Amino acid sequence: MKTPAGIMSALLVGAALLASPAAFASDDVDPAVKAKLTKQLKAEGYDVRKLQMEDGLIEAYAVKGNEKFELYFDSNLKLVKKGG
Amino acid sequence: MTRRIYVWDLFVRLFHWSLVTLFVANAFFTDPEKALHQWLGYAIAGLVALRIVWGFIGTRHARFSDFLPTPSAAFGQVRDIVHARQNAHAGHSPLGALMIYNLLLTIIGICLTGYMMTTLAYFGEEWVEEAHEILVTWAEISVLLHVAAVVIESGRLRVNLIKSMVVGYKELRTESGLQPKR
Repeated sequence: MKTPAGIMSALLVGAALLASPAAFASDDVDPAVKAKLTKQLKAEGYDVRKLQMEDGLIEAYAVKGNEKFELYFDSNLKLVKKGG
Repeated sequence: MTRRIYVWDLFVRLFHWSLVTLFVANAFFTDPEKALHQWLGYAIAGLVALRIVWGFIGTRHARFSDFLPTPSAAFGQVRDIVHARQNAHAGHSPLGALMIYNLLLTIIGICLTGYMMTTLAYFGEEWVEEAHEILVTWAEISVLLHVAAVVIESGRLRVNLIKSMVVGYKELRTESGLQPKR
């Protein structure tokens, strides 16, 4: 086999990269904002499953009736995008 | 002297490299929030389903019965390695078999948790998403180990294992005292 040492080094670097915390992004929403937005959505009949930050917007995973929604809100809790 | 034996049939080889491509695509390139990621996930699930069927009706070394995960065989292979004995296996080695079962089960878990996230019941559920991500990380670690083992065993046994997964044939050495196992 050609340069197994070289291949092993590459694999070790790969393993080290995988172990790095960058693998899991931290996208927590501020608790106060979370509570406010959850209340707002609940009032509209949504079952709020999850809230996270995504590209500077607050992304809400919500269910209403038999439909799934991914809703995006700005810092004023105004709906700016629907979809996913 | 080497003996050239046909080990990996066309489906096994196509399955292996398709899985590599699709897994890499979904782990590193497709956007998990977009439809393509899901479609590739379903494709992986379909491939694995076909491989499982093939494991029961396929060619000799593709069948699960050819590489059942027995602890005694696995320990035997470890002893061979420790004592520098070169007993190259025709099909999956015992440790190789364990890795394959590990990868298959892990990928099934990834597909299952991925599918769950599309259902009304589990949409947005944190634990399902975390399970999905943990399984993917475990799969990535397993893949690195798998590649390392293939490289090391190829060197140790003087058999080009990567090439055999491309062309299907293994060139096993048949010098005295180095009989290929099965």
